[in-house]
Amino acid sequence: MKIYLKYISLSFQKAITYRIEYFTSILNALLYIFIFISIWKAIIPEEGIDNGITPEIMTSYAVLSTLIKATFARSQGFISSKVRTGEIAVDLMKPYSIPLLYLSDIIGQSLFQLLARGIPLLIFCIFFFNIKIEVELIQFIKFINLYFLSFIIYYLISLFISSLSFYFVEVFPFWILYFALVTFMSGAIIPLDFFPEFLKNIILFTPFPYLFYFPTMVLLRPNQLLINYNELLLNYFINIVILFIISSLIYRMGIRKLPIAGG
Amino acid sequence: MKIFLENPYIRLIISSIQSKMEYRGTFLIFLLTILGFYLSQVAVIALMLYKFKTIKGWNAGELAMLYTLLIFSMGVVSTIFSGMIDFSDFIRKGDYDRVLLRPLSTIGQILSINFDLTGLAHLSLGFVALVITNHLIHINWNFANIFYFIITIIGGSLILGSIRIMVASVCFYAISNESLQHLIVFSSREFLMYPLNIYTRTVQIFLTFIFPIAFINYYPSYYFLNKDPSMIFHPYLIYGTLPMGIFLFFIAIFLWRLGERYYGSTGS
Amino acid sequence: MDDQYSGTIIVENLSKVFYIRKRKQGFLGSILSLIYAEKYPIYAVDNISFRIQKGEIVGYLGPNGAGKSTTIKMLTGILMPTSGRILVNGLEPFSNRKVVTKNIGVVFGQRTQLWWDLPLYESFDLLRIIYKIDFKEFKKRLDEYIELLGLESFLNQQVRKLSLGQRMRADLAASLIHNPNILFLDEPTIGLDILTKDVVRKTIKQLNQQKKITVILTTHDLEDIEFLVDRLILIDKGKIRYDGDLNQFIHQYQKSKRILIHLEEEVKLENSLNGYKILKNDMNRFFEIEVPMDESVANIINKIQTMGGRIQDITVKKQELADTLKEIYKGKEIELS
Repeated sequence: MKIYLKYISLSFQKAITYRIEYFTSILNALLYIFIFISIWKAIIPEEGIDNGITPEIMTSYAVLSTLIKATFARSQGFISSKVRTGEIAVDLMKPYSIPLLYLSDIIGQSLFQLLARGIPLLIFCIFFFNIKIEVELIQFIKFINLYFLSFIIYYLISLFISSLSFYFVEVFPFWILYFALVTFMSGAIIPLDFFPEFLKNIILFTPFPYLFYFPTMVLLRPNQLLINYNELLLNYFINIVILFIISSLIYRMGIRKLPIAGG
Repeated sequence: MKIFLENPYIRLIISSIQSKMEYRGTFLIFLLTILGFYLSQVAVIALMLYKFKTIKGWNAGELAMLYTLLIFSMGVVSTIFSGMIDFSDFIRKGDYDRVLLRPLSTIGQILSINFDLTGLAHLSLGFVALVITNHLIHINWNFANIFYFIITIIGGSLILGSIRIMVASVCFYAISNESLQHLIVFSSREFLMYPLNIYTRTVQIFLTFIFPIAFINYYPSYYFLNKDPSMIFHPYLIYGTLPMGIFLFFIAIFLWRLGERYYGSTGS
Repeated sequence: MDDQYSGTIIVENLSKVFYIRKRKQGFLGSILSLIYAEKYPIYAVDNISFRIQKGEIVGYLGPNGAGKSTTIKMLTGILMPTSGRILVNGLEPFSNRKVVTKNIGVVFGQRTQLWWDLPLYESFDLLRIIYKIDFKEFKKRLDEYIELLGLESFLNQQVRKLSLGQRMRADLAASLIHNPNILFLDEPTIGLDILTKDVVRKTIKQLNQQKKITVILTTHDLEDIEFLVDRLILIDKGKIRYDGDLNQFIHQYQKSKRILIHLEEEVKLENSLNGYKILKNDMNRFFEIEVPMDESVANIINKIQTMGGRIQDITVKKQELADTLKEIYKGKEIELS
């Protein structure tokens, strides 16, 4: 257990040292938010549409979903670089689990991003973009729940793709595919409400909208959720279980493949 | 033809292409990357249009035109100005000193040595975008329009290329410009994927007169789409792409020379 | 380019100053240094002057950080002098970069000037175009260098596949293909095997004699110096410590010589050899001793025979450049002219 805590602390510290990266990434996130707020203000009529989605709500949506996304750290190379360099053989001999180590690494970085990016960005947006979010305690608790569940889904998908590096030399195309799907289907930019019916139903079968769309909406429009909260929780658990099974399988089979292939 | 091949810069470009042929795999990956990126962006916009029909008066075909001009310019720039993107590594490894030891222009060498055909991936996507634009909107491709299209791409490429040169010249003063570069490349693309009129007036002024990327696709679109220019600052801005490109280029060269002089007095 | 200046280097009162930021210690200090940092000057090159004539081979030596590479960078036009004058082939290198580089050749031991992914001959052809070399001249010279340096066998190989020795030989040819009248060599034999070192040195010497190419050599390899160099310029802490003939330098600062003694039988010489410093003692039969320069060999033989040693073999080792330099590098204050 100590190892993982230590690792969280290490990757947190590593993130601090990259100061310029820090400032530019905040700027990037702000730009991103700004662009989308501009778009929504331009295309959504004042009075709102679709059961009360107003430009103000979409502004808050853009900020919230981007913030959540910003706090999920990217750690693509962690496992795949170990596989490529063969370092993984050494890691496998040590008394810790690589997937858990990976989790620790992501948690560490995400903690840093939450504190060093998430919070400043939130403060900045509240003043600059005039966000008003009225939250009841219950809603906030529900939000925290979904946030953590969503983080787990995020981690499991990342683990899955990283494990593909046992099978393919270049995993990069898979990450690209993943990012493209996330951009489109996770609610990072467009809320599920705006999708045509048939597409909406298809997407609900994937884990993607659970990443950003639902946590954001449970905070912003708790009374107009597409799926009620309890059913939502159920869906989260189903997704997590399925993803857990798939990624564990791929990972374990991948490890087994390693000595056979010679590493 | 012979004279062509005897020009040092042309030969350096050819050599660069030959060298990079070795790494064919990267081309495919690169193509996949930008394909994935643009497809997801297009999906997002398509969704918005499906729901809202237009974005501040710009319909699907017109937005496609914006994309077309942007992607073409990006394609030309990533082919020709690739050397500026890797300039911080270039200087750090001592390759810049080697460039100084040859009786040729420094910028000329840096651009020629790193000439990168993978930028053509952008161009192929640009053609796709052009076809889609034509499918959605009727544009009369007479001689004048084709000519002005080429001019616009040249101007847009000059604008983006000049920005690259200016960002690269920061390397003369600081060790790394990675983050700055990432920020500039990122924003110069993101802002332009939507029509400028969705942004606040301040931002529009900024993107027209201070960081003048709007000239790459927004203003020239008015010309091709025959849009009413009464909403923008001045109707003549429509023709500003090439002049702005040339202007920025001179500024970029000037700043570059300043950087070279600084390097000459302080070393690496 | 004036003909009287051809192949010459003139350096007058040359200085190069760098400003270093003094970083403050501690947390508070590092924040402060973001806003304001004190700068203090470092005189990498401090008011040096020398003239090199056409056809000279000059060794430019000094300990690390002495100002060697800074000087070379100024001579080749990479860096601008802070003050003073440089004329290479009669022109200021920094402000006349394109013209000056046409007539100089530079070899950096650690970095190649060849095109990494292309076959070797392609690099030569590119150089032909860059330096606008007449084709017949180019062919003639290239053939000559291929022969001299043994490049034939790997002419079609990609440069990245070449061994270090092959690459160095190719780099040398590449630096000469445009017929420069001045050649700058920075660590040209570093990491090379003995045979290749030999080829490289002999080629440089030969071309210097045939074509009167001026050579400036910066190296830590003293065999390079001893084989090639007529004139030695020694720089330390930015100032020139010595500028003159190499052999004179060695003789001038020779303080002692070494004698190798091989005895027929074991004899304990230790205590009796006062005045002589014993450097090596192998089984009390093979000795290396250091004696003052003016001590005669006859005296030494006498002393040893008195102690009962029968000398089978005796060798006088000439003063090595290495020894003299070590003394100087160590910072010992030697009276230099």
